[in-house]
Amino acid sequence: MKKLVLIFILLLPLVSIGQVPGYMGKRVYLYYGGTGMPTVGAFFMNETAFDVNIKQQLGVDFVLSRRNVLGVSVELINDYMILHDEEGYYGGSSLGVIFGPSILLNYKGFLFRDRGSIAPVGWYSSFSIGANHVNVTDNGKYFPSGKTDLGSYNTGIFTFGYGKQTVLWDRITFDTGVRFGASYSGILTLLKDVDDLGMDEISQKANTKVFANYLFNVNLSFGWLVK
Amino acid sequence: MKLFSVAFILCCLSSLSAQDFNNYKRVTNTGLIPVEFLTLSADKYKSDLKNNPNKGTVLEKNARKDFYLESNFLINELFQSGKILFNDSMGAYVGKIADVLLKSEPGIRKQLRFYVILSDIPNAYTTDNGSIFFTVGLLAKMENEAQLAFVIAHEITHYRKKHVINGYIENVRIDEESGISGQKSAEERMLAKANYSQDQETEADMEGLKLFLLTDYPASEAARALEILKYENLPFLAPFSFQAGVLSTGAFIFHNAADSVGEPDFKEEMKYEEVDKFSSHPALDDRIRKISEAAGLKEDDKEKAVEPSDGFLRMRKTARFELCRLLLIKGEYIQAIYSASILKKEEGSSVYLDETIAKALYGYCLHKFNHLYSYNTEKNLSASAVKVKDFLDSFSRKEMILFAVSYNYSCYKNKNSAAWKKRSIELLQLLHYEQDFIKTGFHADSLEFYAANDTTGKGFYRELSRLSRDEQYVKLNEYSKQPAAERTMIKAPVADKRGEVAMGVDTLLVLDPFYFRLQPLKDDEQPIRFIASEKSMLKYNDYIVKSGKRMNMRIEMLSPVLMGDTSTSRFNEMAQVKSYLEELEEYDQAEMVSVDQEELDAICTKYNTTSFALLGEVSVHTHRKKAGLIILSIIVWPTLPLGIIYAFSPSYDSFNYVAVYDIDHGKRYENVHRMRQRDSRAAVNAALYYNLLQIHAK
Repeated sequence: MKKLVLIFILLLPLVSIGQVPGYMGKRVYLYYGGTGMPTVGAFFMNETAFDVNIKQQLGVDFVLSRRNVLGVSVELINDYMILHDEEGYYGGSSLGVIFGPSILLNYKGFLFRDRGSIAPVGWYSSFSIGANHVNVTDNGKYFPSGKTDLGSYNTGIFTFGYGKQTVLWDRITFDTGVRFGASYSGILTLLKDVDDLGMDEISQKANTKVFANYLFNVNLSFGWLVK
Repeated sequence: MKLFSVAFILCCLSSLSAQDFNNYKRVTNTGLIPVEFLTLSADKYKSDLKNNPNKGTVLEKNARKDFYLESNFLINELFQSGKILFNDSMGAYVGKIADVLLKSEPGIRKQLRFYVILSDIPNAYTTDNGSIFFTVGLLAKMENEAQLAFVIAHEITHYRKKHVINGYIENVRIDEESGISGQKSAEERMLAKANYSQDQETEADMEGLKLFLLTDYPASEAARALEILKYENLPFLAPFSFQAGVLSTGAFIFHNAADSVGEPDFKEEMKYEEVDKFSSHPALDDRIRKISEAAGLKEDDKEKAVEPSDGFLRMRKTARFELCRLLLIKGEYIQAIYSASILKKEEGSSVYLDETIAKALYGYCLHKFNHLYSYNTEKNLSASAVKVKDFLDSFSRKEMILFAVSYNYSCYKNKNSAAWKKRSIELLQLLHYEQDFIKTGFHADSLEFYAANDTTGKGFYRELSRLSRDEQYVKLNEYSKQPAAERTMIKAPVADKRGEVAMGVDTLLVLDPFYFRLQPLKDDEQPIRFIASEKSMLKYNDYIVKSGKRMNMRIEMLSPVLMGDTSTSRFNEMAQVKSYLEELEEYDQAEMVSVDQEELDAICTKYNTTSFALLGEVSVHTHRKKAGLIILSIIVWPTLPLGIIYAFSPSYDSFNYVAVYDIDHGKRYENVHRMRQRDSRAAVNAALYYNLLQIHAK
């Protein structure tokens, strides 16, 4: 995390070089939105095609120059996952709750010369790198004490994306796009034997769930041009 | 007392507006800006639809609607171009002649407005809504008011008979009925259209003649009016041939050629007219013959010329002086020298005419010796003007340049203005390349020797000797050799690694921004979405002002859509700067040939800037390639709904254009920013702001 902050601070001086400060002089915008994709969970987690896997997003972007935008965002995973309970506490299988934030450092490059994009308006490609922390609990219906912690997991994540952003009424940003990504532990889970990794079932499922969450997403967000 | 006061004020006003031909100034607009210059074309379109019953077949109804839409938009473009004069002396004179013609039809007269177009090409146009235009080139060519009256009568007939709209509908009918069904070839359709147009012209000639014959003007002048149009390339007919003696200056003393003495023979100027069956007009000989027959003209009648009135001569003199300026703007330097020299002979010497010759010689030297090729300089030369060219071509390079120096330096001495100084310096620098002896050190004694023995050439050494005795010239000549005097060629500012520039402009004068929304051409559609374009243009003006405010750049708008009827001085300023930029764009130079530097300086002082900008946006609706998108979204199947929506949604290209001329620092920045998206408010503002920021950034 310290490294991310350091990179962000180091990149800030670029601002003084970049000549085009955003949309009509406004270069900072806050945004809120959602990202998710139905059916992806169905491949990995035995979920239905209608499980949308929506993550809420809250972020801030800073226009560095005509082509470059840097920002940070927080995404919240708040989802269910199907647990298989060998010891029978939950009646064979049950719904667990996976909950936790991802903190991402985002770069948007309005680099498509032939499209003539001028940040933050137009077509962009994006790259994000960050960290994810999730807690897994049961859904609170099985023990009188409420939700029971089943584990906490951290992993690194990265995404690549492509999208289009516009500004409405000179104030509101509207962003749509698609994003492909993965989590570090999710890749390991898929590539290696779970026993070799020393993961239990919940750990494996949590990592796979996070991986599935970032594998392919459609984004939609609204923002507010601050300054 | 009241009467006396009114008379006094009127006298003052007339003396104010009277043209001083010695120091001629370009014709400007006066009074209030006419309503039709400022009314939006969308409003005019609605009004036309409301006031004109749309009867007939479906084809006619649709064609009529299209005509109203297209014509109102295009005429508005013309009105707001700055090339149309209003409340000027020439237009007023044309109106007076129309009063005579329509004395018995005041109703028709009230429907008509007469305007003059600043163009050297002799022509007249009528519109369906009653605006009739005459070019300066036509007015300069007319010999008397009777000829002008016939041309006006001809145009009035076009209006009365609704020729413009009928012609449009007929063209649509020819295309629709025979084109699409493939019954007629393109050539046959062109011929059908030309035949219809020629019939209209013949009707305008015949009906115009009837109107003309109701006046006291002799019928022979109707035929003569068409006769002089045969001298196509000649700026105007004059009782003199070109005489080189008129161009004498300093020690360059020229003698008139033997063939220039006596009445000129203009037969060689006659246009050889092939019968062009595809032309919109019948052959001039045919028209003249028909008019002569209809008026019962005999050979003797044609000899009886009408003596032009003082009023006409004054109007024509204005037109001819103005024509010299227009020829300079277009780079027709030879024609300009010819016209100015003929006028000098006819009207007597004039500072303005000498300056015209000086500017034309300056332009001609740049054209000939400085790689600033002007396409128009040697294009469509009249036979009379060819004599000017032959005369100038008989000079050696150094003689030609010194001749131009002489004229320009003389203007500099008279006016002591920066523009004349710059022109003189630039010519002197050209001369330095030609004069080896200057580089090796040329002694005054030897110059005197050469001057005394200079009998074969044009007088190069004599003139050089004369000028070398002028202290001011010697200083100017020395200064021209220094690096500081290097020509301030308009050049693009240096771009950084990202291709961005920083011009450091604090105040920008923006001229008449444009906005066009184009759509793919279909069989029955206009390429321009006229009403949408106009609406967007109004918003675009607002965006420019807003962007300027956001970046703390002062923006002054000279845009007709933001003007009221009392904004005449702003309208004149817009016309002046646009004309200047037009020439600048053509020849890439800081010191323009035609520009009246004093007028331009006054505008720069008023707005406290030397930076002028042309801004505009063009949005093009294009077809999207659907197949690839759909295949891609089938492969990534969850995106299929998005892919289908995207594939069938319209595709756009938006082009934001900016051209800025910083005439003080000699910089020009031009950029077209293309965005592959719809011209949404966001896209237009982003591109506009980006372009303006580069102009403002330091």
